[in-house]
Amino acid sequence: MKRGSLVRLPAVCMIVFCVLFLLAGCSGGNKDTIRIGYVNPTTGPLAGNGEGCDWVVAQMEAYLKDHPIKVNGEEKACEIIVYDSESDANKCSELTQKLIEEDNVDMIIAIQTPNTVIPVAEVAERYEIPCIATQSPIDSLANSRDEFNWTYCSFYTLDDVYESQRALWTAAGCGVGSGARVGTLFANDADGTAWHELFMKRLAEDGYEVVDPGQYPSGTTDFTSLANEFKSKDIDIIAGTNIPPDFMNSYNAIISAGVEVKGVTMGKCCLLQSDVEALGDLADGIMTQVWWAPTNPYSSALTGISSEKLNEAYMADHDGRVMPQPAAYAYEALELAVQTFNSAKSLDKEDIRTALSSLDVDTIIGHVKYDQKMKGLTFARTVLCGGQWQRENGELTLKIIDNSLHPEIQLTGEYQPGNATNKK
Amino acid sequence: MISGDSGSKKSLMIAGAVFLLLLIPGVTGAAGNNVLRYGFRIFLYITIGEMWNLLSGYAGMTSLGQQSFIGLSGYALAVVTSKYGMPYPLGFISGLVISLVFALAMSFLLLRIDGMYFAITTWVVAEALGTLFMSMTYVNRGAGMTISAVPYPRIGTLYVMALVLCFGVLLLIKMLMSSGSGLKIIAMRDDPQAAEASGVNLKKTKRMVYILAAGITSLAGSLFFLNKGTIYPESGFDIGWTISMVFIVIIGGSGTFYGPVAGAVIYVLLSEILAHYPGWSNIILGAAAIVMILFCPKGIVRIRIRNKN
Repeated sequence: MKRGSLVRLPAVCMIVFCVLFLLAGCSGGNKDTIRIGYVNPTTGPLAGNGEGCDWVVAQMEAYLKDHPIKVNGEEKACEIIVYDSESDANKCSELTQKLIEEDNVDMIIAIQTPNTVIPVAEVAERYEIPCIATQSPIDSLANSRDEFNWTYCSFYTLDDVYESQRALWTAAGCGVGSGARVGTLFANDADGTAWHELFMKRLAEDGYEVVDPGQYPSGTTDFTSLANEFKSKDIDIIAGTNIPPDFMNSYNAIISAGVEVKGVTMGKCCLLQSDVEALGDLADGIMTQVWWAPTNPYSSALTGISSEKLNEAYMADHDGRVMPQPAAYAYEALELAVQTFNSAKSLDKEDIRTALSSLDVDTIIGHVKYDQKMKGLTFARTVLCGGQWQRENGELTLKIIDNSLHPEIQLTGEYQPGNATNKK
Repeated sequence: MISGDSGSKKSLMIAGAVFLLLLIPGVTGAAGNNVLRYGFRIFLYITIGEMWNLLSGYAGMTSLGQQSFIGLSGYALAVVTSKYGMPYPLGFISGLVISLVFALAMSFLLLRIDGMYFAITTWVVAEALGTLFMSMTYVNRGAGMTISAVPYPRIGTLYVMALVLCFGVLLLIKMLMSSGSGLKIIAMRDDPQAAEASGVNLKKTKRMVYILAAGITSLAGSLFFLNKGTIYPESGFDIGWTISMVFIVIIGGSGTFYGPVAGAVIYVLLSEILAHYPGWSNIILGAAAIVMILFCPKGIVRIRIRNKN
């Protein structure tokens, strides 16, 4: 035993030591290749948001094959390295460090909900690597730290969400001054908490009567008391943001309790076709945000492709499925990355940051110019419209029914009264 | 069983030499940041693996709730540094104190139960903590917190801290298991009734092991989160922490000193390589664990011992 332990201790430690030094050889970058790091929730609860990432990356790689990036007139190869975060915040930080230290990336893309964007941007800031953040409400990211020196975000603010939802309630006959009672449905997760805070403030300012049963832990299955409270207070509107199982459980309980409302506005679980199909008849008439649609009048200044054509290409490769909204933001993030390198003076990170901060380009999701500030975060405000899930030939389709915040977006339908609470 | 004086001195000298050798890249930065990142992760996983091994492998107290202490220490660090703007070492100390007090309080409940019931209760407690933090406005509920330190420690500093903690823990375990207390712990695992009849105070021994594991796991948790920079209830109190400890101990060898060391090296290298195969990493890690349990249930370290004999 004594001899064994004497031999094994140094043996094990030496193996660790050798492995560490061998790995030293793994890193090290060739400066002729630009590396873009991308952490995507390919699996796990946020997989719906991460859908289409591989396809979008393949599109951009195909484009770059024919149109290589030119930094200061010199052609460079480009590699996009994607890691799966498994929808886990711990993994997001670890993988971002791996991208920076092992893969020597020149830029990081932080995308797909605050749960991914915040930990990824946090590491990028600490390591001082230029970071393109998108598809996370500005407020959630801006509140996560005091100062952002390397991260630039493009998306909408929660104020925009509130205003967009208010326009939808107005369409359902519950505008400001109508005395409508709004029942709120927020879990106490990252998104729910950020929305809850802002909605409480704005609803009170607009004179709505708020029925707030309090935030609940995500994964709650018994919503009886919440449903009874909505029934006893006779609410007119249900507003909130939830993951699909929470919404399904709460909405079923609300319907069983006999609550009848004029309108339901719901974020997150009602954005994607796949999630809505899982909701089935419950999804009829639900109103939600639309940040991108194939009918939007935007084209990529980089690749020249229009929203409509991009969607057609996606549908052709995915058995006719419409391109999910978050995938369009994945395309936008890569467009911004390529545009940044094309306009950068060199691959020095200060030059990359200067190029990123002064971007002023048309992308597939609209114009992006980082000209606004919230706390320490510089951001670009992007498009937000109101939509409603309506049956068309038996299929659920998301129709744009309100464009009050962005009149340049084409409406694709009109508000239709009725939802699962009042359709017998 | 217990090494003689000259043997243990020699072991100590070799361990000291290896420690100094591993310290060089951290202090001089000679090995590059990526190497330090791997080293940092390996040392911390050895630390939490050794602690889970002490609980389950040596003492027979299989806990599924060690993430409680990782979450508590991570949150203590976040609160101390970003809410009160104090330096991060104070966050470490707060995390340690909170974890020790919590472990002491919980020990009065947990030490009344054994085996499967102990495992499930520790897990339930960790889940309850996660839910509690999810609803506490003081810690931003589900929105999570960021850890702020100015200047933020470089990876070299984190590496050295993890190395010191890891070697401190290895030394502690070696000394503990070579002492009378170590014999009591093993006697308690092998036959609690016989141990008690021979004069081992079961409650006292179990409490010591549980609190020791909690304290050291919390120190590792503080370092993990100092490196990550953000904490959420679902990341701090994630059962994944304990799953990684179980994996490390099973692969390496439960109830052995070097098992968690080998297990942690394999776990970290495997998880880094598997990052290149999106969607497959958990399947492959799970399959590796199943293969090990089926064909080598006593762990990698024991294969070597058996072959040598």
